[in-house]
Amino acid sequence: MAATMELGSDTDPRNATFSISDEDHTLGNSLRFVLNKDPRVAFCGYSVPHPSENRINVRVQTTGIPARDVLKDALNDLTAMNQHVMTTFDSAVERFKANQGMTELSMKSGVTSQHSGSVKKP
Amino acid sequence: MAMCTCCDCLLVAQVIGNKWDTYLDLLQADYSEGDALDALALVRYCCRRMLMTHVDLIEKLLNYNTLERNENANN
Amino acid sequence: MATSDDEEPKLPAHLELQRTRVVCAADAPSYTESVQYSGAYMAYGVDNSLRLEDFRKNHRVDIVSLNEEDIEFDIVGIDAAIANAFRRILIAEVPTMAIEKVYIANNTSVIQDEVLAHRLGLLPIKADPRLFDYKSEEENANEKNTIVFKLDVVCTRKGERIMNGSVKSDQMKWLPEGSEMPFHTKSKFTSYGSTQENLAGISSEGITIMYPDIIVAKLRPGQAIELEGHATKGIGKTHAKWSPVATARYRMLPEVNLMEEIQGKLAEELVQKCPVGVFDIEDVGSVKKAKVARPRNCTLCRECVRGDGWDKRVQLSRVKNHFIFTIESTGALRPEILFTEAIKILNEKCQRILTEISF
Repeated sequence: MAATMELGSDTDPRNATFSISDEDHTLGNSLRFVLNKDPRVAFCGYSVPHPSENRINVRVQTTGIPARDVLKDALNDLTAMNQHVMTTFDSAVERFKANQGMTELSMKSGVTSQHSGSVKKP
Repeated sequence: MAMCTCCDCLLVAQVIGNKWDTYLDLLQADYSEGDALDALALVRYCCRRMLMTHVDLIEKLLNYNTLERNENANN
Repeated sequence: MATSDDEEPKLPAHLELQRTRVVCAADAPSYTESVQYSGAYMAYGVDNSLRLEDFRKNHRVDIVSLNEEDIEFDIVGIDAAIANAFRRILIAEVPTMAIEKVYIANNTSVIQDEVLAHRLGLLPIKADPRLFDYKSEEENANEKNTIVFKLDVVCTRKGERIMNGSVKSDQMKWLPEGSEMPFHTKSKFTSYGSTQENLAGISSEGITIMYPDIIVAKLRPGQAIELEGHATKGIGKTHAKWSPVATARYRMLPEVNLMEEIQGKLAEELVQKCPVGVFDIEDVGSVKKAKVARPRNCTLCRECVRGDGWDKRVQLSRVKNHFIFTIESTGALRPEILFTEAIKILNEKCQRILTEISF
């Protein structure tokens, strides 16, 4: 059985259910979120058909273009979002470490600050 | 039956297996249970109960050491 | 749709509150759901869809604290669906190394073989899992997929002293050249006699158990344990011993609003009510006035909105798109690396499905 199957009709590509194996709420819920935020999606929902079967069904109904294309866009959007979260996070960590290097001296001299990380250097 | 202290907190998998001896030492040094657990930096009550409610049953079983009895008999 | 370009249409205040806040009244929280549908506010001309530029503009990460084991950071501008995906991946899908197979040559301790093996599995191993491959059941062990530890202790009596009375985790000895009983374990490392010590990325201290003083077993004179533990790469979904975090959690940013001026006796009562010290008293001239000093401390115990009339004075809410994330690592990887690994895994999931539906 294919890992991801598209269950829909030949004549109407706008509505389809994607059956994805080896995935759970982690991807299902994120995907539903991104799909619902897409204005071309008329309806989107997902379900876990059976708790001991490692598979989710994602239903996508669009206002015109094929459901598969919308799903592709959603996956690309989610990846782009993640990528952005990652770069933002990395730069925040770097900024914090740089700041900490500076505050370490003042920490040692007895000055303690609970949120030393959020203290912005001028 | 947990004879020996658990390695990790059963709920959050915080490592606690290295804290039992220190905990006992702290109690010996007249710490209260609460203060001892604070000193071990156990914040959550799931981790705290791991030490607080533990009965070190292995110490009882270690009293029945057939191997050493044989050793003595040989001597 | 919007009629004029210069002014973004706005939602009425009560709907904006429902969209962005969880309001925690004395009886129950309300507006807990996040409104995801892009056309939910079409009637007001407000677009609820996700635009990547807007996301980039509003997204923010602030590190609150960071050390070897813990990280706390604020992540602003994402939905609970995404934050929860990160949390779930951290707990169940970021790989680590853990002892999976234990070959016991001798065990005369009072701890049964299977209990001992289980305990060994739970020991956190200080090795970067990114250097290793997954090992399938049929595959032979090699230096890229297995870490071998040896434990060989005999308890003896030396006069009054008992040697090796308790076996600690630092007595687990790393065998960089692989199993010493290859006939039984079928896992002598491969041909070229390479040792794991030469593997790129292995630190000069080698591979050890994260904490040196975890009690593995207790022995009495005459008792002995001799075994080999083979660690492989795995994920927390399979067994919790592979979970890289002690806890990974998030909470929404609490927001405490005073709906009216609270003065005098009432102000003192309010400060008394709060068990985590959210409120402070401010002296304005001769009047004592309550103010919200530390809203981040709020645990939403709702003690401050209990009692006569208090729900009119104080409003508790949570900001739906502001998460305070905390990750406690068990040691294999630094917490900030764990988070980026989690993001990578979510991306891999997306890519997998993209390739599967792209034909």
